[in-house]
Amino acid sequence: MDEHPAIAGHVVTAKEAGLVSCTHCARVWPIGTTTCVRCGARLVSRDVKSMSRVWAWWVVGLLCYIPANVFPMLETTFLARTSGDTIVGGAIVLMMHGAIPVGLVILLASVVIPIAKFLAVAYLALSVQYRLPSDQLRRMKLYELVEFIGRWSMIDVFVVAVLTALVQLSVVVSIQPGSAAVAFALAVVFTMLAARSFDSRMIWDSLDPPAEAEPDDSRKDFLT
Amino acid sequence: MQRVSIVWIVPLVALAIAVGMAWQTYQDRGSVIEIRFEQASGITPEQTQLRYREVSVGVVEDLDFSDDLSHVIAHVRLDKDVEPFVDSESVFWVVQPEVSARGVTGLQTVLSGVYIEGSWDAVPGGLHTQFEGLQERPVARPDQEGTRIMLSSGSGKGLSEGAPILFKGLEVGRVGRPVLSADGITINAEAFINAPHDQLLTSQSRFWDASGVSFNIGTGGASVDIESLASLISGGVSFETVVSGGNPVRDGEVFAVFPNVDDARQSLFDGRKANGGTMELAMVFEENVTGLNVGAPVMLRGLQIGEVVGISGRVDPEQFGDDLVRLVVVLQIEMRKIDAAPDTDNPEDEREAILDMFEQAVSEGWRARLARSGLLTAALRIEMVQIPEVGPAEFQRDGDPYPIFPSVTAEVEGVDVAAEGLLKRVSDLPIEDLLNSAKVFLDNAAALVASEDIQSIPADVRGTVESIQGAVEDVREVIGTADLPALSGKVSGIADEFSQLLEHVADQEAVAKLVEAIEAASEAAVEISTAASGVPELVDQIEEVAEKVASVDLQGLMDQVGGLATNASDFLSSEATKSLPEVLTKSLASVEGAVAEATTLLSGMNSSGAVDSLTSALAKVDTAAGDIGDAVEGLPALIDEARQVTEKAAALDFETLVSEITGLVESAEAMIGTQAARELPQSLKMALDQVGQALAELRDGGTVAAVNAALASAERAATSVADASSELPALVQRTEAVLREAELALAGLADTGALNREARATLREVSRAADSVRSLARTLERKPNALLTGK
Repeated sequence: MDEHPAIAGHVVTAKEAGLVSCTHCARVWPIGTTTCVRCGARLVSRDVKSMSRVWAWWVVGLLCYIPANVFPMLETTFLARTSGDTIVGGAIVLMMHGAIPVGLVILLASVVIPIAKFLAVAYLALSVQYRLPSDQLRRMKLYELVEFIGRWSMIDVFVVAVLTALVQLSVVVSIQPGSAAVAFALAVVFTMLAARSFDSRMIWDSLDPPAEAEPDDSRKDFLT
Repeated sequence: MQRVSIVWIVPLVALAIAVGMAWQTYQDRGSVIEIRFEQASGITPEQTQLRYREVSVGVVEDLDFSDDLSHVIAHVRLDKDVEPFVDSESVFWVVQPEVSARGVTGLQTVLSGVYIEGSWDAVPGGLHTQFEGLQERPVARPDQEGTRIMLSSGSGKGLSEGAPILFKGLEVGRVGRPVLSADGITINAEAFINAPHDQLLTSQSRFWDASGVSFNIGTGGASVDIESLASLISGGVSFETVVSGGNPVRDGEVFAVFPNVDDARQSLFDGRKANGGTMELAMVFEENVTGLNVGAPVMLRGLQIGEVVGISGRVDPEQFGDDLVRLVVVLQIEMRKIDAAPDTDNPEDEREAILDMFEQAVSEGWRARLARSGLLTAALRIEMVQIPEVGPAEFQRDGDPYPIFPSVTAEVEGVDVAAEGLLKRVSDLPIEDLLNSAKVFLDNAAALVASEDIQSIPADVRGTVESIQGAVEDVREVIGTADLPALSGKVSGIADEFSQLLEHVADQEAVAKLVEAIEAASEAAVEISTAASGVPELVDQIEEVAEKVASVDLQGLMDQVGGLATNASDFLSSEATKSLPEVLTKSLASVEGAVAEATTLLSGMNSSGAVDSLTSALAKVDTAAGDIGDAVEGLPALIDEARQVTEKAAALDFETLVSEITGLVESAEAMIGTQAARELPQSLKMALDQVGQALAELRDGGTVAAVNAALASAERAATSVADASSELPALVQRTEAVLREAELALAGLADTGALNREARATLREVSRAADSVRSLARTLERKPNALLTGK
């Protein structure tokens, strides 16, 4: 482990070194060990089913994201007149009312970040499956970014929750969460699950010589 | 290595849920119906709801215009579960906030925006997708139990939208939106009576306007009546069913709204129907209809069958053939007054029957015309009368907008124009002049009465009476003193002599001659009577003349006569007149002597051949009478001439004549007033004295011989008269000629004033001559012996 992989140009993976690490407690065991002696977690050198799970969560997240944008996020009842605003519509209304930073934040958190997450996860998954010869380190950082930022996508849901709790003035004005709020929350959750399902160790396997049959399996899984 | 992650169930489930939801949504989605509105009035796509009984059963999906932009079409997505009920009977209207006297409705729409209210009955009738939206809330929902009627009013009072229908003050229904009828005469409004109360409504029910305040003052005091506060503000109608026996009311029946409760009740008894009791008729008049007002009666044989409800002008070259303005009068006929179809209760049948009747009547010569409704008023009414030999006309049954009943032009300017003329004539009468004349006359009369002459008349009259009294006393004295018995003896002697004379006359066939003479005279009389047949006409003419004379102002004449009377009284009061009796006494004495003389004379005559002479004289008289008879034959012509003359005279200007006569009278008065006239009695007395002396002389002298001579002279005179009489026809002819000339002259009188004057002078002369002749005749009448004496 003296050489830095980026410097060396070739990184020796744990698998190549005959080792397997515990994903929970990071203790390294010789390959073939099935259970982490320290924490009891199951040890797998490469989770061959992970790609299938990623894509499953990804699809569900995408499914949820569609109604989240079509249905209204907020239902504002102002003097007995109810109007619903979708995410984008609400952001545009805010910006038209002069609250451009707030609108931009909502747009960023509710539209740009989720979509970017979808794209990033899909890219990572595809790059792993097709062993694209791109910079593993950068992909690793992208994955970590996705993992980190995913939870902030919930900001819109938080806004809705806060507004719903605060603005309950009976007849005059009241705000109810729309059906899109649930869908949006689900979409965020599912994308996070997709990101978590991704076995980032496989990023490094693209450097492996294509002797193994595992990528084929992975592809088969994906296609299934 | 077929290892598929269990996680894939999640997207599959999610997909299944999504698809299921989509399917469910699609399944639950109802049809879209289209509702046409005049205007959107607050309808917003995707927000405005369709509600049924205040429950949302749909939402407006889209809003667009009809092809011609005349309407707005709201596309409403219905809920699936109400779909079958939305059939063609459904109605839709937009609920908007409404504030009225009866309350506030639709307040929630102020904040939430309008919504579309739909109403349909509970019977599924299949989906209908095209609807016409109502402008307003309907009177009653389609599913509401009750009776729908039409209210018709001439004024529209009380008929306002949403106004309550009251029964004994309780609200039992509502009036819908009032709509002006196509002809603009009546106002109709739909009305709805709620279910349990519509049992109270029968064909005998009467509606009246309950709006406003009724205020009555009677012997029982004053009363103010307000049905309800709401009806005071927004109108309202009440109804009542006083008379039993009416038929149940069907939907859509028409009831008239009477102005007040009294009218409504009255209508029950005078036969007016509450439902559709009237029909409209039009008439076209080319004449001036001034005085014909709305409400003017329409009379059929004196019975009012309707009234005028509208008058308007119309220019219709197609119908009338020119561009002139015709006046179209619209009438409302009360059908029950005619009762052409007593069997039916259906207004349409009744109307048709009446139209049939009118058509028949027009073909029989019935026409409408204008007539005076009063003797003095200018108001007109319309009469339907049968006019004989009237020109052809047609009852235009399908006239626009009403059947047109033909009319004829009538003479309506009858009485008032005549009265006007009469009044004008009266006002033209010279009443002021008349009054002035009367005033002057009265002044003159007063002056006359006040004049000393008139006032002295009584005294004069008294003097005259005293004089007469004195005269009578004198006469009595004379009679008392005179030797009357002797006189009577002498008279009897004379009579004896006379009888002897008559006997002698009888012997000498004098009687036969006398008879002849009398016959001749009777012939002459017959002639005269024939001639006299023309007299009545003459009298008529004279009457005319007399009328003219009567019309002449006689005041001046009166004055003159008054003066004349004064003079006459002066004359009577003169000494000479008073001394007249004495003279008379003396005269009587002379007469006595003369009679004695006559006795002797007659005795002489008896002996002498005087009788012979008398006989021959009578024969002469006979001839003369015959001649006169001949002469009388010319009289009718003479009378005709005289009549013509009288006619001319009648045509003359009498005022001037009267003035002439006045002048004549003045002259006469002046004459009487002269000293000579006053001395006339004295002259008369002297003349009588001379008569007395003459008689005395007569008594003294050889009178018998003289009488003989006188008789001979008389015979000669009679002969002369007979000769002259034989010339009378010629004289008459001549007179005729003169009269003709006079006639010609009179005809020319009108032309020249000078001639007129001359003719008048001539007439004066003629009249004076006639007077002379008359006095001569009178003298002869009184004193035939003047012929003998020559005086």
